[in-house]
Amino acid sequence: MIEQDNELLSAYLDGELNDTERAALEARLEADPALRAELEALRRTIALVRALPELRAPRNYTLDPAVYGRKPAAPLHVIMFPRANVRRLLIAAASVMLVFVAVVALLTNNTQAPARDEPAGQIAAVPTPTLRVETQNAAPFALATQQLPTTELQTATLDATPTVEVAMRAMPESLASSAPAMTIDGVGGSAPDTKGEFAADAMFEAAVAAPADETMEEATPEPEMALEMFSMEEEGITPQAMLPSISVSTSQVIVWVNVALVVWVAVLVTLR
Amino acid sequence: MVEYNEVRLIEEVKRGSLEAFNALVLRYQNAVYTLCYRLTGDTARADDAAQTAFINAYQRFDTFRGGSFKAWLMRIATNAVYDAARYDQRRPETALEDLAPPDSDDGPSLPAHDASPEEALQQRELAAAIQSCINALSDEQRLVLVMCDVEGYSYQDIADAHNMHIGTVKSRLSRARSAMRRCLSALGELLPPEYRFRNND
Repeated sequence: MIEQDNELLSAYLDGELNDTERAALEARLEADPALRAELEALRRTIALVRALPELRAPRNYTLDPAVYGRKPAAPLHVIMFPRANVRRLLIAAASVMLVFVAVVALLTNNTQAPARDEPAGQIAAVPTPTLRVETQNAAPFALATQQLPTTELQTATLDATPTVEVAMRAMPESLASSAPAMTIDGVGGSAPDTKGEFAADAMFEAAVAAPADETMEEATPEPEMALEMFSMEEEGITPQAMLPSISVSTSQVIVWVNVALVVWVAVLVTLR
Repeated sequence: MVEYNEVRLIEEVKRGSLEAFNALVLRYQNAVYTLCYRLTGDTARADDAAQTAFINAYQRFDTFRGGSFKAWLMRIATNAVYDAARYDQRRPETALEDLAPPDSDDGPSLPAHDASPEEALQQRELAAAIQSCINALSDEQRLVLVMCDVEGYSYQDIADAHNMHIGTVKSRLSRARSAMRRCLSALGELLPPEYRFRNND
């Protein structure tokens, strides 16, 4: 008895053969008494196993209320959105909204900034409030020490604001070493394009504000992207940069982006 | 007698009712214990696995997404059996008694209709002999044989529940049944006349 025939007979008894296979096997069974005997032996084997009785459990497996008590009610967000994929969808939608608001805000802002056709000295951008604080505190020091080593400049910057502290610490050394220009940009005027600033600022706030575990998984790649953008923008900046100019619309942009960010973080925290 | 309403009980468990869960336990504990015993061949291990299965089922009740509650529960019970087996294998200080062959006592079965004490004894011996043949199978073969021939699941259900290809279910089941046939044919007189294998079988 070859194994293939055993498999065919076994599946035949379970009704798991397709029409062609079944017809072929039935034709063979018709002509082959040995194969019929095999089928019968297999049928008896299966019948014996199927006849095994259900056993009585030796005891009750009911759970003791003193130990298991009342099952904690599901969190509110699970009750509101019981399906995990719906929650994920809402988080994705909130993230898309954040990006959308940021892009729209930046595009709106760019229409008021000078054109960027000529990279050298043409990048007019506006520092974030964070950068402004940094500028005020670091200005005299930074202006006086344009060639200061990175570390000293970092110290000056670190004093300025906690957000920048996070940003600077997270920055790659290569970027940091070319950083004097960047940090002083806010003062010297060659402010980096706000795109990178906003992104970095927003993402770092998200990373800091978000709860540890899963949210960090999503949040961490984004600061890297933000830093990349930041770094790319840096390369286009020359020493002959312009002075920063702050307009009313820029403040509005900042408010929009921050509101969108707060909504995004709130959605993350709520739906996780 | 209070009417058993599984859907209502499940809803109550989802709202946190341990009482409703315990009603489900009473309903399925024989089935779960039986499955655990068929897979382990040992009353103590089956008892532990069944208790673990119900605890796990309660703690992970939010993973039940509808469909057959029994099928979901049986999958948890199967996992409890295999998790315990893996744990035992990893334990370096396995006690000697753990290495002893599983007991051949088939345990108390639910009473058969109109069975005399002699017949009941005979049935129990037969069941124990069949179980000893099941115990002799490899883990993979035992799983598909028990799920298909004891529990009555289709090939597709088994493949889905245990992440197997349907062809794997088919071939493992065929080999398991061939092994069972060889084992059972050695039982001879113990088998009821209608189940006895002829010499040329």
